[in-house]
Amino acid sequence: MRAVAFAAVLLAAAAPSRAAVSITAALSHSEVSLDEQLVLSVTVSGDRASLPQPKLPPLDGFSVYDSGRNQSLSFVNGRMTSSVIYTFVLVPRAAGKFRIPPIAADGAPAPTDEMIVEVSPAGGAPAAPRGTASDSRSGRGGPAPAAAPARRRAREVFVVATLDKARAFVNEQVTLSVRFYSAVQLVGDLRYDAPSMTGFLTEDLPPVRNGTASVDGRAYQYSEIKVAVFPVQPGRLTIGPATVRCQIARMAAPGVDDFFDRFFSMGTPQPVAVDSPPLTLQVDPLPEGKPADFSGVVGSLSARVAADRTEIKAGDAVTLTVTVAGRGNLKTIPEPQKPDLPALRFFTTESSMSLDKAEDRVGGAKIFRTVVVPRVSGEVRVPGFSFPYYDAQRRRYARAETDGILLRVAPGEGKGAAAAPSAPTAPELTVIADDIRYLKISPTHAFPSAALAAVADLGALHFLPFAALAFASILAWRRRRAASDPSGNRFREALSRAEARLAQASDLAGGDAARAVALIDDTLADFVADKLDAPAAGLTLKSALDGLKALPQPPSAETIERLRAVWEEADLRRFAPGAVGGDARSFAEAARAVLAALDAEVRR
Amino acid sequence: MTRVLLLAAALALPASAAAALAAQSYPDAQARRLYDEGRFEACAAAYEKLAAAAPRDAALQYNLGNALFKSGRLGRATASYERAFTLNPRDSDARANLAFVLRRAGEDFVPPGIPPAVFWAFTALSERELAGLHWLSAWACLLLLSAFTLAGERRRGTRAPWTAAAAAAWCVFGLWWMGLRAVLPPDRGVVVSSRGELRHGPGPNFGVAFTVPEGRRVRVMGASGAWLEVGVLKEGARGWIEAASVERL
Repeated sequence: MRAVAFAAVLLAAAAPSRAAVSITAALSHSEVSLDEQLVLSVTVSGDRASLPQPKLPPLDGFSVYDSGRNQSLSFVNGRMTSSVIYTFVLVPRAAGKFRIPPIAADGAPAPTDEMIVEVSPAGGAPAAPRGTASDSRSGRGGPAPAAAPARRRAREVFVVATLDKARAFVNEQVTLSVRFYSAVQLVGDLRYDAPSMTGFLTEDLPPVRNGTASVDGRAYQYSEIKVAVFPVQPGRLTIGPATVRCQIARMAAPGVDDFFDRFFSMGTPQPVAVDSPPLTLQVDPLPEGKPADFSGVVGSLSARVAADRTEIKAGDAVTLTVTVAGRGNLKTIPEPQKPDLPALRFFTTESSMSLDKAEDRVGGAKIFRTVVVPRVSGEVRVPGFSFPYYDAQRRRYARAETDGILLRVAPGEGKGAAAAPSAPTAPELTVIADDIRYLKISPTHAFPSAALAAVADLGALHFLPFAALAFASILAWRRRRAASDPSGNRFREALSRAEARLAQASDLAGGDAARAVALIDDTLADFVADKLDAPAAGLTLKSALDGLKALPQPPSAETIERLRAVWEEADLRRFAPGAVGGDARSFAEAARAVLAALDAEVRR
Repeated sequence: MTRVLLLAAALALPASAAAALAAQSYPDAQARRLYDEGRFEACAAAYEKLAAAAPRDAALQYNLGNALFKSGRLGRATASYERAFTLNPRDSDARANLAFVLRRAGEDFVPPGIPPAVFWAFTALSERELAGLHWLSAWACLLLLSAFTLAGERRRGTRAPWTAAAAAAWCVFGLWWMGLRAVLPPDRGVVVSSRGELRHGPGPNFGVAFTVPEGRRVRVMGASGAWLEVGVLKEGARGWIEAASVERL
């Protein structure tokens, strides 16, 4: 009977009544890093069973996941009060300071106060408050020490709260059991005040268990409530006391014999409140190495994908159903990332959730449905979807992955024609994929690239045009100088002209000695005439020698004598052939030597 | 006029011979078959051998870039496309694929603020082609100037316009060549490691200044042991990186 009443208090809904509604909101913490999450708890309370839902405004900077609601009802002296706690998980999307705007509810006279959350970059300082995590893992998995019964009223009634483990990871399920023992008859209603659980997400694990147990040799009846709690932040977290308020029927005092006294005294109820001591849970952060798309699920997951059909036409729709099932707080699983495939167009994803609480482990399945339209014909593969999670048993990150799906797409039927637009529009290209271009199947044309490259590679040969220009410049300079100073040019070029004529004479010496000698004789006269800038005709040996001696830098006397000897021998060989021995070639050589000496000594 | 044409023909003769040598058979059928079968690693190895035997073949460098990109080596693919582009800058395929891989590396093929048509025209000739044109015009200019110098007064009037034109071409191609070397310096390299770390000095004892994504083009500015001092062309940042992380062009 007591158990039924207890359950009824927890689960029943009462008729609405006129009364005020109030709304409050609280954050699990006000500072958080990018790789963490926080919990926003919005409590709507009033004295009626049907309470309005809070109106959550858009929250910039956060992805918001609805994590469920807890409702509690209580009847005190026939008056009902009700409160509903809506829990939202906020996952920060960027670093900075973000505002949680006031949250209102219909019927509430005032919204909640504005709150500020400071999000630090990933890996930054952990949000406060934080407990000190121990490195020891020895306590993991074992049940927390059972709390001693609190305020056991002569062991007539008491409450015990326990956790199934003393240490857990962030987002790992821990089961809280609250057991109310009673060894006496209870009168009236029970009121159960759930413990405060800041820093936890909670999920009820119905039904209320009832039974009998013997404690310290005394028989008790008990009712037990179980709640799955998911810590959302690391550190040492506290679960507040669970309180049960009830009324005990008092028996008549000893020594009262009067029947009426006993009759009236036994019905006097006595209010009693018993609570459990607070519990603590050591929450460890998840280890390093989180996948980039990790959403915080701790447990075990599996995933599968199915398509309503796999043989379609381009432009037709296919419904993909992705199911993620397993244990853990599946509410935080985000929708799968749609692959960026130009051949497929993905539409909005819808999700639904079915909870499974078998064996007091929260789990179930989250189902995502999305419509896909292939844009091209042929075989189009939809890649598999992947959901990361942390496997607390194996202590490693894992992935639940689906297989890919192969769609066989036939060419479409050109639905655009049926649309019959009012104005004719030119068909446009549809970009399906951006990729590199295909191989070259023949060599590219090398000309003129190779030709120009060959010119560039001539290296030192590029010196040639510069040399040609230099040569031309020198030649032109000499020409100009000769034109501007004929006598000087005649003086400078005398030897080279004489040598050329003497070489010619040497060539003639073998065949025509007379012509060779005449040429040598004329060369001597011409050379001296060039040096003196005088006409060669009529130049005698005497006038030649006098002229040379009269130069500003005359030749030496020895050279003068050598010139005289050669000149006279030339005249003798020319006009008295046979008078002088020796061949004309050696004579030409002797004449060249004399002229060279003369050229070296004389200066204008 | 006739002499000028003869001069140009004489200069083009060795170049024509080089072009004829380049137009040989194209022995990449096996590598192409590997590419079509999706065996990109083996295809890349085959093209590497072919490209090593003919380093001036732009098409082989292009095909090697394709095989490297398909086998997931973005940095080395970028280097091959750069070589193909350098050898034959008017090849639209090489330009397209180079722009594609540079986008993957976070870099623009056409520098920001420059109209694509202007950039296309500016890079339409390769550095070697510009060098060839520069030297061709230099030869023409200098030889015409020599002839002009030696010519008599009568002939100077007819040779002057040709000489001036050659001099102008020499200046234009020379400036163009220098400009291209400034925009696409010959001592370039490409980051080929997946996450190139640029340090403050040549060695692990110096801290990491910043990281460079694979496929980014850098200018090699110096070397010390197994480390190179490089400047990232896009951002202008400068640092030291392991030589093995950079493929020089």
